[in-house]
Amino acid sequence: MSDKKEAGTNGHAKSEGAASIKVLRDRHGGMSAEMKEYYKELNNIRKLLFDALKSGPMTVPELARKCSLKSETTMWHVMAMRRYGEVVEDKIQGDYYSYRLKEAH
Amino acid sequence: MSDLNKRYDGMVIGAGIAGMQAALDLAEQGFQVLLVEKDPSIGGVMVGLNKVFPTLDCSSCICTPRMAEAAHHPNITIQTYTEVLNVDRNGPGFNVKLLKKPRYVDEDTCIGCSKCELECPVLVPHEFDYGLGSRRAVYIPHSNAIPQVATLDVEHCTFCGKCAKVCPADCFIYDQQPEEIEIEVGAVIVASGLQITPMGAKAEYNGDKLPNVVNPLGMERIQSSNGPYGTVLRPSDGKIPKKIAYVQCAGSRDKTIGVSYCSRVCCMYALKQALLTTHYIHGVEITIYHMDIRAFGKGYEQFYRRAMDEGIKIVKGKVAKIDETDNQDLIIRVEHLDEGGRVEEARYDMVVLSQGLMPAWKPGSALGIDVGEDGFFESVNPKIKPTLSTMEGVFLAGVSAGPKDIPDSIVEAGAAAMEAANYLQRTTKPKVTA
Ligand SMILES: Cc1cc2nc3c(=O)[nH]c(=O)nc-3n(C[C@H](O)[C@H](O)[C@H](O)COP(=O)(O)OP(=O)(O)OC[C@H]3O[C@@H](n4cnc5c(N)ncnc54)[C@H](O)[C@@H]3O)c2cc1C
Repeated sequence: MSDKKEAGTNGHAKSEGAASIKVLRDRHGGMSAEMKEYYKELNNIRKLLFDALKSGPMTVPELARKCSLKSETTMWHVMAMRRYGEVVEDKIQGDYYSYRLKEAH
Repeated sequence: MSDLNKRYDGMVIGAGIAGMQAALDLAEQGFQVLLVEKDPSIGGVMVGLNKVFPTLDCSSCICTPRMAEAAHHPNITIQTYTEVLNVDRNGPGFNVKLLKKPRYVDEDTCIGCSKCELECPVLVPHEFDYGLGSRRAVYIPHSNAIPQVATLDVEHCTFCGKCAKVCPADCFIYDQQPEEIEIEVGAVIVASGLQITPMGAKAEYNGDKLPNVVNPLGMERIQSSNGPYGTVLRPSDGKIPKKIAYVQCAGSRDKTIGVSYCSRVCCMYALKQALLTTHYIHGVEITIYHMDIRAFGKGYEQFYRRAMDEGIKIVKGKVAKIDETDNQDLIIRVEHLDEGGRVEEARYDMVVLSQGLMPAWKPGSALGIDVGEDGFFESVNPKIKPTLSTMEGVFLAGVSAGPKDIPDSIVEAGAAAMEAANYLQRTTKPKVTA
């Protein structure tokens, strides 16, 4: 619609992706300390949840207990995993769905 | 560099349902229209709603054809992810300064394949789901977004460069910069719409602290099949809620929070959400606590009756406080107004605060039109010409001019487009001299 590529970048993104991203990183002074912390925490939580789910389907409260995470944090991450196709709903247990890793079926 | 024209007959600010309708109506009369939207996609609030009262039509199903119509109209140019910096009078028309924010993606070559989004390693709370769902740092806003192109949120970027590596269309432009664009327009229609009152507005409801006290737009997403959970669950732990309460006027008709007016749509959206939830969850019990129910539109009173017939409890009661139990259930302290002020504490799985509507945009000096005491744009003649702002050549449509529902927003958009067309005819036609 509106943006036109600027001279020098058009068509080069794929082959020179690493070089170009450096421009963006430099312009923004790299990742902020806050973002670094956020990203580290994100990966830690995801690893905990993946490892826990390897032992079988679980509800959000069960996962939260097993991983010692806040249950709303667990919920948000399980729903993110669901959205991006990493977990799927399994059976309903009482008032809760249980979730399992997609590959594990 | 922008490939926009230097001049448009009309500029519409905000591409929600009102802005899209105004742009279409003006374009249909042969005027060239620039439709400016600050978000990455057009569609406004309506494209994220689940279903609409009182017909219960699927909201995105009736909104997306309108979005496509605007996008494909030969007389409409859409400029998304763009802010309005300044609108200055120049004769009968205006000089406009816009700021196109960088997406770091070429909108013309991106094919919307989502490969970059699937590869991106960062998860971020998704604005479209009011934080309940997630997106990646590079993302396509949603499946109905127009344009269907990726945006890189640089604040959450790890600068790994994977997005460009997997892009089959070579569309990443990592050195894209914000771009100031200057144009001239003959008339302006403001359709900048709404935000809801902040969830923390009433401290005693803990709406900004307790995960199961939900905002009503979040509830629309929870109910949507393409929403954050795919089914109705509560945010704290994924429990299928069996008892839900609505607190009416949680963000309206209350001087203490600076919103003394009635927001006009909250009774109806609460009734709609309540009724729909009974269709989604077998045996769910829903109570709506209210001061009085205002069901003023065509078919609305009948809808209210239907909700009661289908078992929604409508209780005249003033909610004083909402607290959380150890398992994150909620305790509502309510004073029953029809029972001599009897005070009761009731337990719920989830509570929806029926927050009111506030204006989304406060332009300050960027656009010199007057704002009323309620914060919405003022009309110079609210009875006879409600779409005329206090500046000649600037017209108002939708919630930017005051709380209203979708049908009223559409009607007002048509009226604003007609007033703008008349103005353009008047001011651009050569003067006939005797
Ligand atoms: C929970 C809830 C449920 C509802 N359910 C219903 C329903 O079932 N039926 C019904 O009839 N109504 C319903 N409504 C009301 C409905 O949402 C509004 O009537 C409608 O969205 C108003 O449309 P609009 O175009 O005026 O505003 P919006 O939808 O808010 O659109 C405004 C657009 O302008 C953009 N914008 C804002 N500022 C700027 C700027 N400075 N520059 C560029 N762009 C800008 C915004 O990003 C947005 O895209 C509901 C409201 C709520 C809160």
